Amino acid sequence: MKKLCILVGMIGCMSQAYALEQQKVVTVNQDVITLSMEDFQPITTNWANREVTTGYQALIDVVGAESSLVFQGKGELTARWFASNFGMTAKVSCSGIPIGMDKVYGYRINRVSTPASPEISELRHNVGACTQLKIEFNKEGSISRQFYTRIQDINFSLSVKGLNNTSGGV
Amino acid sequence: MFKVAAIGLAFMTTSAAVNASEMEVSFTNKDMVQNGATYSYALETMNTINASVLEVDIRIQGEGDSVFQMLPACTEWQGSTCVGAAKDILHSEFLHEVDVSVECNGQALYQKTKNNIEFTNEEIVTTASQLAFVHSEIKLNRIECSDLNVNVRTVNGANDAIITGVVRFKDSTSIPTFKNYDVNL
Repeated sequence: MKKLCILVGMIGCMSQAYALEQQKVVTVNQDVITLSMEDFQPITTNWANREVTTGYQALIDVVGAESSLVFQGKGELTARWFASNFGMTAKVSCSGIPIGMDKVYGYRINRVSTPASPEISELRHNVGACTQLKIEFNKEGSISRQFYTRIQDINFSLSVKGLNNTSGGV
Repeated sequence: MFKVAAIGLAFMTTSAAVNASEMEVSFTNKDMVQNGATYSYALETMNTINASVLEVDIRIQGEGDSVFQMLPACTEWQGSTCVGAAKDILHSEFLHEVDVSVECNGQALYQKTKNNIEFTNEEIVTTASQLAFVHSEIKLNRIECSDLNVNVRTVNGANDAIITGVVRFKDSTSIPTFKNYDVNL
């Protein structure tokens, strides 16, 4: 029985390491990648002897970066119905370079929940060293507010394009 | 004779209600009372507003908060662990955020928070910012009230703002001020 527990534990560790290695990849000028809840890792902290999820982050490898890039991201974050009035800050950086940010709100009005819809559309220069995108969604408000903001789903699509320097010249 | 008088009275009542139902209010920051970061406009109408269409067009010019600094940043992450080199990178952040609410008899008819936000590796050269709250909707439950309040609160940014606003209560969508209308309870 003990051996079985150790084996299960080892498989668990291996699958966790495998998950860390299996980062999504976005290729410049090619793909639109779609991230779901499973692609994000919770960002946690301890509060009143409880683990509080204060946000979520995803790491995406970038292939084919150029000096100037256009980053486009769009998605939705849905909270449980009782926590539908919430604020969220979306922040995107690439290899430590600031790319873009959005601050969005989810609403619940007349018993209908509206998800928070972050959107980023930015042209950034001097980003030739961009090899890994970091996408963060951080909950707004006090730590107790963050504790009760239960996110149940994340959908976020992202693309990276280079500037076409050969057309449009006069 | 009594019958005719009764019908006449009913028509007048209906007529009066229709006249009182539609209302358009225009205002600027000069018409509003400023208390810190909040501008308030209050109007007690002579007649009860009785309408099913709400149109809001409020535009705010203000200044956002800006930070520009060189910060050490991690160039590669593995989970929550930094495994890459730390590098000094220019960081600029800018945020101008405003909350607008339109209330009638204390009931919120419209409430929205909007912002201009930036996170970039370039220096942000201006803190000037404009936000527009443009909204049109058909209320399935008619709006019936008399005390109108409009509040414009700067959540992030300088307290002072230049505000121009129009709030319309209508009973028709035929006049083409807006193309599309949300439909809500």
